[in-house]
Amino acid sequence: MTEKPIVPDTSDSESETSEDSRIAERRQLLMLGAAGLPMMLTLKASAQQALVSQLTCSITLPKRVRILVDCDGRAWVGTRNIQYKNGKGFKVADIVKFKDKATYAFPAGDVPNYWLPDNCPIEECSNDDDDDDDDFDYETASAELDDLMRTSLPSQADGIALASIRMGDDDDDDDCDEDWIDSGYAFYKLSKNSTILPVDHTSGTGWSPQANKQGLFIALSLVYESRHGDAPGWPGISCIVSIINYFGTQN
Amino acid sequence: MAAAPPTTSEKWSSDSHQYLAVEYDDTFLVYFRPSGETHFLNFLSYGMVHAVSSGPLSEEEILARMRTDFSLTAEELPETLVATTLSELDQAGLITALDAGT
Repeated sequence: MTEKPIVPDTSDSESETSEDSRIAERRQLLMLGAAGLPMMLTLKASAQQALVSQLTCSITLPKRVRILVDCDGRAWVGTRNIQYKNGKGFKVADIVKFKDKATYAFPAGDVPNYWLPDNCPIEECSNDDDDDDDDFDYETASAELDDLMRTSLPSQADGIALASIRMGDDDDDDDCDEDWIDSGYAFYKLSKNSTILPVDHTSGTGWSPQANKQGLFIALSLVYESRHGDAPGWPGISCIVSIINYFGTQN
Repeated sequence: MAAAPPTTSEKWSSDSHQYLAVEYDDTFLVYFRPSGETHFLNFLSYGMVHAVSSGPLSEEEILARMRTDFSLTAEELPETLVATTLSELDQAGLITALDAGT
């Protein structure tokens, strides 16, 4: 008697059988489900994931944050706004008030170079309180006079300008306005309820603040932590400290 | 005191961008990005997540959809099993309850 070879059945009946089998298995599974078998299982986070979860904390700002930075790397942190006008700059009175009402002040050198103002140093208007002519800039006046002489026929307005140069009056050609200042400061705004993910400012083994305003907040957070530890007061400081502790376990 | 709104008006939803799913022999391995957890879902639980990913559905609608999609009778797929599974999926964060009218 010859043994019959096993031939794979490629007919449609096989797929039907397979589908029937699958449906039967599903029905059985549902019966077990009705009896209490969970319909899903969750892989619990491993110990390593739990450790790394320290990196996943986020900072949500409870109030808006404004950061004023000067050319020496000082920073003032508060909530007030500072008026800014194109061509004029920041309102000086607002800057004074901002500094006065700042919640935190960081001394010179605390702000990394990236976030320093573009226009440095501060160009302040000279205060001429002594009624002498020491604010007369002979070089500037001479240059302006040369410009006028190069024109063919000075108009009456030019003549007035010339007179004002001679008298040493501030004709605003130097853009100097005691009420506004267009150099020496950078102002950064972070909105209320905005979320900062400190892990985005790390390189895996250490801090690497991004080149944006959130990065400045992180940089200042690190300065705050270095001086005050996890003392409450700075938004999200516990999150920063937890990541610092994590790095401590890695090094 | 006002009565709590009936739970039957509650609709369920899921954002398919929040998870990755791979099928292995009628079992689905689902990685949920927000929690970083991975879940094993059988055909029913994944079918429910998948169904509400394309638009919010009520419990009744999910029940009807599952019975139709998987050719199951009311006896084979009881209402209580769908309710329990919805609860498990909700707890895992894979689906979200929406208020009626949203």
